Amino acid sequence: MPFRIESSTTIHTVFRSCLPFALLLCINSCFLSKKAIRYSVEPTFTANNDDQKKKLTSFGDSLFLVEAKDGLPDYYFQQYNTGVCYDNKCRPLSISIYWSVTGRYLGFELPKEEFLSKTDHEPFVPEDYEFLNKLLANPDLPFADIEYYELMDQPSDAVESVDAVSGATSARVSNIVVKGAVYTTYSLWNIVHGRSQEFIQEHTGSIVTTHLIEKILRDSNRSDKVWVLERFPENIEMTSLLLDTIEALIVNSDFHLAYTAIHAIKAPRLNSEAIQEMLFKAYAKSNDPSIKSLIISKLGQAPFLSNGVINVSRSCVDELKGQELVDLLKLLKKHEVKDDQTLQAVENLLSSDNVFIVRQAQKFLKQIQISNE
Amino acid sequence: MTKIERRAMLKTIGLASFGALSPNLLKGETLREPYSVSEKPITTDILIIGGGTAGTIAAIQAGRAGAKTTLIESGSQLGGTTTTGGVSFPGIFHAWGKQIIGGIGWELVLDSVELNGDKLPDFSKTPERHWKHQVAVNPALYSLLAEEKCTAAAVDVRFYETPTMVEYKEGRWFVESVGKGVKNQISCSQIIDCTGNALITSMAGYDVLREEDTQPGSLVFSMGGYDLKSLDLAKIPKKYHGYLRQNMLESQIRSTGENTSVPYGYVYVKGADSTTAETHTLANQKGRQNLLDLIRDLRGLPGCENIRITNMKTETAVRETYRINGEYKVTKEDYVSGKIFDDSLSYSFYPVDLHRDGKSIYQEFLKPDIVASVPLRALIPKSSRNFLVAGRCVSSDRLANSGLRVQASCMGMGQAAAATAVLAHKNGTTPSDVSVDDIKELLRVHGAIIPGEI
Repeated sequence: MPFRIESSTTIHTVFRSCLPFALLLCINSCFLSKKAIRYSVEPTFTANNDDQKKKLTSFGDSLFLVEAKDGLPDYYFQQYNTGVCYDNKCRPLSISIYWSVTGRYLGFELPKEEFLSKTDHEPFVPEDYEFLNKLLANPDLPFADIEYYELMDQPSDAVESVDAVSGATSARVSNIVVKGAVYTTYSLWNIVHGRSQEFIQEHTGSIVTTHLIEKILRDSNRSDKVWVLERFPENIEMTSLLLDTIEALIVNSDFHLAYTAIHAIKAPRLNSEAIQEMLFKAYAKSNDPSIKSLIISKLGQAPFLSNGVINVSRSCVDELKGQELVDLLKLLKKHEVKDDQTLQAVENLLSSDNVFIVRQAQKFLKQIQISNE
Repeated sequence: MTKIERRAMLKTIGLASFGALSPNLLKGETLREPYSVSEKPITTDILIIGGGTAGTIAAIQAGRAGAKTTLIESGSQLGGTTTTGGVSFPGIFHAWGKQIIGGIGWELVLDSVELNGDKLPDFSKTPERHWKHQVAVNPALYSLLAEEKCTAAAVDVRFYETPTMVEYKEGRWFVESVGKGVKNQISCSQIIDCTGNALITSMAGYDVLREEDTQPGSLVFSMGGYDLKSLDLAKIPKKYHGYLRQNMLESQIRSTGENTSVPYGYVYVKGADSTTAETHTLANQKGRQNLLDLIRDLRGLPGCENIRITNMKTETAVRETYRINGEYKVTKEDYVSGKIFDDSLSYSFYPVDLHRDGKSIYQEFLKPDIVASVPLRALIPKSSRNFLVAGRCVSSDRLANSGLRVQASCMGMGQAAAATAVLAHKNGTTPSDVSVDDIKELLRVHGAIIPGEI
């Protein structure tokens, strides 16, 4: 089904209610800009200079997906052309918004000779554009939960009026809007983080391939990596390159990436010995006790434990202390690992001078003995 | 006939006549001995008093390090403020994009989050409000996991007990502990006072300090029966807005992945003090009365006619009572400058956060990249032997204490104190004589983060 911005209640409401006060694109010859105004969050992002030469997929309503030379999805953009009313005068609005394949805001562009202005008709200065660009790039701003009439400290019945542009900016948002352009900031943020973004995320999720995942996890922005890990497809082919990439993320010192990477591996995947062994390699390399604990917990969800993991884990037993030892013995017990070499490794713990370790070993050996009976 | 023989005979007669008067026993019924208090001696290496935020972590650490460990808790579950007090969003474990408190406290929090099917926030992003990095946990799970970890570490947990006498003799502590039907004589090598009130410190004869005016406690609750969005707040006195808003924030027990809002519906309890049964009873009674008054008031407001209490914690959570007079007193200047001492064993991150008169909060945020730390000396009462504290009674001035008192910091202190106590026990010495390098090494082995090493 083609993307239809009109079908979105949220966006429709935003356009109907907010843009008249907000996106003040003045076409005043006195203030015309010679060059197109373009801002992006990544200096390397080159946007649509050569979009004509690239393969575009249209979803309707001027929303396009642009493919990179390697045939993989590269970015999305949408051109907004609509009427903007202010002081009962309507003017055309034209602006292009850019998103990464994960729906992350990349930037915006105004056509040549157009610019944004404030409620007092003053055009944006470069600092305003930069701040706006920074605000649009922040998905954590509370604008999705704020009604537009809450932007100003004035009675709610007054702000329904087209001319209701006066009043003090609400303290709740005063630090997160371009000064004098509260509605512009609010409206654009809701466009950037609204229905189009949702569509983009759904669409990319539906066409994601192993190669695209590898590319995002290797090269992309951190939040793109988190995005793809949080939506890791259950049936995607796990190439050795992809496993190496995930292992590197788990060993990485960035806790959130490591944490999300571990959670990306769902239980049904764990019947793969290669995945189990990748996880245990990461376990051996990680310096973070929390990550180690999460890996062992994950391996506990596997239907069996590969010989590779058993062999390596056995050699770790005598080095572990505290919770790490408890976790590993629990894992071995859960998978009923009771070969002679493992039992010997655990029996060696009985000579530890730490009674806690001795007790864990005794408990494990006793449980194995009971299960044998 | 001697006095004792006569008494025994009378008892026999009494029992016989009781038996004669009592109805015939039904099948399965037996006549039991009258209630009596059993007394027994207990010998242990480390005795921890208080199974709250710091004490639970201390007990697990001591047990895992191989020490015979006993934990006395006057209540019925572990976790203290995090569980019984209802402040079930401990923090702060991360500062300026890095983890600063790890170890057993973090392990417990992470396990709670995992078992509840929740998701951690991205700590690499510094939030606009510090409390957004407090991690909401399911308090029931937290309590269960804490107990499981104590059991795994062979900690002898003794609920419903409280010490009545503490004495130091010939290199060992002797503690009389009394509870329902029990009276124990505990002999131990090292004591860690995790009561939060420096109670054992005071009983042992060491100096404790108290402000003339202490911060209020909080009785945590939640309400239902109203819709914040549909309320006309213009018609509701401002003093009630906070109650109505805070209660509507999500996630005391989370059902979704997002977890960082503070679900902190509470009423203040001026002068709340949990040190004795009487003061604690009073704190609870005051809190409950304040809540009742509030609910009655709220029900008289437009849109709030159907407000009802949906949950109330059984105890008032306490912010401030007594502090020890330690070998070193952490000052506000130390705290806000992020001073790291040679013997700093754990970090602490929170604003200076003083709740004044139950009306306002004085807050002073730490500057970027500043993280405060806790030196070992602040956990040792001046002139003490074989004695440590952990938790909010840490030796500090009032403003430093208002930041140090929070849960993650107390967990870090608990682990540090226990590691020190275990080494002191093994070396047959007192905590101040233990090598700081050895303590740090033991803490590293158990996942703690050492100040200056991140």
